[in-house]
Amino acid sequence: MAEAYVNGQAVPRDAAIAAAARLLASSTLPVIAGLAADVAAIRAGLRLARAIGAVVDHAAGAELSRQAEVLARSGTMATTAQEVRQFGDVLLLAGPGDGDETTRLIDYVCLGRQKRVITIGAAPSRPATVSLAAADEHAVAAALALLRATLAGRLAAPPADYVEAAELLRQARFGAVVYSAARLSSPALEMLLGLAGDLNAAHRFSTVAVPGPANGEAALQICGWLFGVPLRSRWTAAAGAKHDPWRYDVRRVIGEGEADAALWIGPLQDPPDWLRAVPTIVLAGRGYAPDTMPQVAISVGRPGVDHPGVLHQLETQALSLVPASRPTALPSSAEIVAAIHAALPQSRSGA
Amino acid sequence: MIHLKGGYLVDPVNRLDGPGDLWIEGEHIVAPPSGRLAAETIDCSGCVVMAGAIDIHSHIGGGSVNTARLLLPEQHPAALWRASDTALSRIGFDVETTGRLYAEMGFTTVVEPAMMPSNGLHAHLELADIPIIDKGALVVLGNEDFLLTLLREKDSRSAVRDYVSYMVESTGALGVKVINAGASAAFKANARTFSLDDEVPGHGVTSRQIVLALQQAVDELGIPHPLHIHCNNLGVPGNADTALATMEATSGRAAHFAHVQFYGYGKEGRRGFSSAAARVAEQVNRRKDVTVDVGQIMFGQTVTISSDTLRQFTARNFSRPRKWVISETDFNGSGIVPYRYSSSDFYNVVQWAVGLELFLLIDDPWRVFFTTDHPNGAPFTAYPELFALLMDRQVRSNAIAALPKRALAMTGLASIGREYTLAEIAIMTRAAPARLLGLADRGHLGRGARADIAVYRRREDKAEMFRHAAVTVKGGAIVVRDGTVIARPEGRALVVKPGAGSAISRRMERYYDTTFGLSPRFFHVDAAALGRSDPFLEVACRS
Repeated sequence: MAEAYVNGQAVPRDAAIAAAARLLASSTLPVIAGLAADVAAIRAGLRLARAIGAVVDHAAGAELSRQAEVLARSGTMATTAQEVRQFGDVLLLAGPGDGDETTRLIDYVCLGRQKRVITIGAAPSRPATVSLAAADEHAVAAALALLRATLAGRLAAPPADYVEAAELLRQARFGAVVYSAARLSSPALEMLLGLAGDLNAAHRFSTVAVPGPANGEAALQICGWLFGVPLRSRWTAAAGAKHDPWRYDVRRVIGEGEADAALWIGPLQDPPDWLRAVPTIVLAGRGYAPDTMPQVAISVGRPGVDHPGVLHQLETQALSLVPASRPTALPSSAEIVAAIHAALPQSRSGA
Repeated sequence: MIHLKGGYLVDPVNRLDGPGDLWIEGEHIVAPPSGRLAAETIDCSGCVVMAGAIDIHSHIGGGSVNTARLLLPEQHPAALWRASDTALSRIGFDVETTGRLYAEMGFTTVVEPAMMPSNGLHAHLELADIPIIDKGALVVLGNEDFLLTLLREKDSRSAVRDYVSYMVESTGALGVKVINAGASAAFKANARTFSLDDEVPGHGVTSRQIVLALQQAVDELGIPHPLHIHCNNLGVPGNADTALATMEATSGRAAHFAHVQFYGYGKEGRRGFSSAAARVAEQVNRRKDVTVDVGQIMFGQTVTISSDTLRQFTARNFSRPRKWVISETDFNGSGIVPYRYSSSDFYNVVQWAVGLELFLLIDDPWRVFFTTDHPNGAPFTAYPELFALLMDRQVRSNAIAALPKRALAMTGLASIGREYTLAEIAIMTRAAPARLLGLADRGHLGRGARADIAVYRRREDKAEMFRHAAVTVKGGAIVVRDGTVIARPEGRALVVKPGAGSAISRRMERYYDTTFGLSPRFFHVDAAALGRSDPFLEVACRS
């Protein structure tokens, strides 16, 4: 796409920024969604949300929310992919174990020290020492429960493959579960974290979560420090931060007609179609080409490609600055969000 | 130019303890002008004027603090019924509130004491988003495979020094902290207890060797803040012996001992838990190279956040509410365990008394610091109540009267009559922290000092007096009026640059490549990543 559009017409970027500011300023309940961008853009987006009382959610909000809820309910034992790669000797893969990020994480973890692998509900093609069948996410939860009960000696006659898996887990010097919250139900997640906690009483056992896609883990962390609560929340001057994973699910907010404007912050993911039920501002990469353009669209650079950007790293579970691999003059999402914020009338800018 | 007129100045560095005026131009305190009028005059009559306060140990930002936020969304004020009645509602859990609450109490500089080397950028991003106050961070060293290998192979002293310098510069640190030296590494090898002379399994070095090597490196690099030590055996009955043995081991060079309240325990009595504060205080009084902060506990709900993984793993059994996070990261680890200190709990009451005893029995206010180890002992917002307990004997005896006698009998608190003076408060919260951290530009009201100033209206109720500053000035800007924030400039992060050589950089490059398959830039804190025009302020090292 060209650098900016308003109502489908190519316009100078400043005109699009002004139109975006007008749209947000006239909104009763705006949403700021996507947050599929680098750290600078997420911080700018949440600052803007705080100023205008917008509901905030991430492109992978459902998955991040499930992860955050399980954390808040039961806590966790966690480690990094790098630790497991280097020192782990037994790996438990819970869930299908496919998908870009998950595959990349498992491959990275398996690079280091030789490991014995237990899979639960994985594709038959994945090599494993012991493979426990589970057809769907509910079956994975049941299998985890059965495995945990086997380990605790609560079953009179545990199935042979579960006995074998339990024995492997018991013998581990440093075992770890690798899982993706996107592919497990909440009961499975809770069972899995409980299993890790049980095993730790005797020896080192931990978990590695596949980070949410599109810099979602960074978005969750930033919401933590700027709002004090997880994503799917809203900050208003009167009430401070409110977090409610159902109430502030952006898809629900828009679907039920509560919101009247949306700002989608990309470019790491493009907006879903349902977002467009309200007047929408989209910050996206140059490849963004929907059938009909949203009310406002502005091209932005990709962090780590067009410009440097801070992104969550799978290997270290930490934030790192990624230099630009092919620098261009495209503006960053952060610059555009800040420009929209600055263009708001004083009464809405929070200044 | 701003004129602070007719206040009562308390500045132990410049021996001020009486009525006087201050003038501010730009970011600094200046001489009285001749033939010029100030653009703004603030009437400070009836007020005490001190330098802005400095907190040397408060967990305000970084991965672990943030995990605590995500673990406990129900503790956020917005989620709490009658939030104003609970301690955590005042904790300032989001970064904006943290900066505002500190400024409202007249604090202008705060040190985050536990930046994990693998998570430095995250810590700095959070610190950068805390408004108003200046920040600094201590990098946690002592569990990294690289360092332990250097020590085991008896690599040269200069190699350890270069490594420490590299880590400090790479993470943007103000100093170095060691936390239960070697225990996080030992925990990974399934150790569940760890003391000063225990060896890290598979590494062949003891906790003592790690502490001494880091202390020496920090000293020789000229980093102003001495090694910040969190000893082994935190919270364990009888652990005063560990603290005393560590003070003995480190004598001859400066060392700072963090939150000593958590090490002030004996094993007397039917429950095997008693105050050993007098023994610890006596040792501190004798050893002039030792400084301590207290880590006072106050009753109520809080959350403990520590990189002492091993200790937190044990503490998880006492979590209230019943949930916890233990994470073992590269180089290190951390544990988040929510906890409620109860005024009817025998152990908690002993802990409370031990902290106050330490404050009152350590003679030299230049060597003992106010901390609650926020949020481990209590939120930092409990400082005003703590000042009142120490400045007013009556407030203290009222508090004591409400607590179980059996617990207090295991302590010596009731027999101590000392009351802190305003000058002592000014030393402990301003002058001494600035000296300890090497911040010559603050902690006093002399000409040329940074205009970080707190003005408090005098009141009988000391807690009330210190809770809301009448005026707080940060870097020459009036940021608080009548206890409320009126401006929120960005603060900066204080860093030291001891000078890491290129030889160590190349060596680290190779190490990261072979161990992690990654470049060290993954762990580097780059000013450009923080999104601020001028995020750092360099503090000079000793030459």
